[in-house]
Amino acid sequence: MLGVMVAAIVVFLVFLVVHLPFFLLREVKARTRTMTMAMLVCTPLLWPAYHFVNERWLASDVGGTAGIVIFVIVAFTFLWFGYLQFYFSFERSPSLRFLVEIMESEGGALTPAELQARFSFEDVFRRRVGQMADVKLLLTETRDGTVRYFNSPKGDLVGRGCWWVKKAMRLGSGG
Amino acid sequence: MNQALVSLALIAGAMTVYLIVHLVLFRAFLPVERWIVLKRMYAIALPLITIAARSSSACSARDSDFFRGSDWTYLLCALMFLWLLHNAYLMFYAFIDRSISIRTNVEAHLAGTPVTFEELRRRYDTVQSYHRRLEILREAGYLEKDGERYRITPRGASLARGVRWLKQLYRLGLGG
Repeated sequence: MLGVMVAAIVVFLVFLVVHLPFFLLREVKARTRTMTMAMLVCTPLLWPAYHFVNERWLASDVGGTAGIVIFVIVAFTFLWFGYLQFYFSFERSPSLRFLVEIMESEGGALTPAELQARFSFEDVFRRRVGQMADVKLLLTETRDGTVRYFNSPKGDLVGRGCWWVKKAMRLGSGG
Repeated sequence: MNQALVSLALIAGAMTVYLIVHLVLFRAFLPVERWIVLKRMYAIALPLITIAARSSSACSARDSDFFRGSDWTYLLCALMFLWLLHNAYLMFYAFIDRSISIRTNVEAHLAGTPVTFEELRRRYDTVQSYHRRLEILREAGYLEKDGERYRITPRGASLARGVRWLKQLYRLGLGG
């Protein structure tokens, strides 16, 4: 079993090495897609990595092939999920941007209004709505010269499902 | 049945117990610092879950692949795997609770009819959300109140420096 975890970690490190140059060399627009593609490219390496690690150093894991394959893919996928969470936290989070703006301000302190002037949360919202329209989570229609937004079928599924989870967990509106 | 699959089922079972317990806690006590509750609950539950899985394994699959080897190997693997599961769950949780996009889809769903951007913004209440995020940062110890101002704490400054460095490394611009 240790072989599974070590193989997943090794291939995850390969994934990091593979995807980082794309970000370091130029500004990547389709970031999630780039990371997903890098992940898919690395996934087939899991099986040889598992055998390499297991036979060279551990020589202890036995068991059915199907079980090992599932384990090693699940472990690698969860590592990747963890990385995505980490990545999106510093790429997208308005809260972390607040911290950066306050840190860079003179004296390291700002009122909410001063912070809003440096980094408008409304602009973030506007940008997100635009991005959602780009990926067809929101659709638009123009009526009486005014653009109106509504959920696409996919967006409605997301909205309905998440509303149900928010209610079940009593999370409030959130966002 | 394949022993590795038995092990996988055991770990999935342990994670299910964690999910059920935290759901009950959330519904019963409405904790304010939910993120901290999740992390503390995980820290407390982890050894218990590990022992439970170990006992269950001994009963149901004596030679289970996952539970072979010395105790430290077993413990290391179990902790790593459950940590991965927990991380994946935190991602899902943060997505549901904090995501602006999710909230927007929810509001559009609740509106029932197509709405203008202004209506969408009014429903979302960006002002309230803005202040809520600042308060969450204060409660977490990254900011402190100094009269009307929010002042960054040493902990907040080190996080902000790390974030700024990562944004530069990945060439992401200011973002947010």
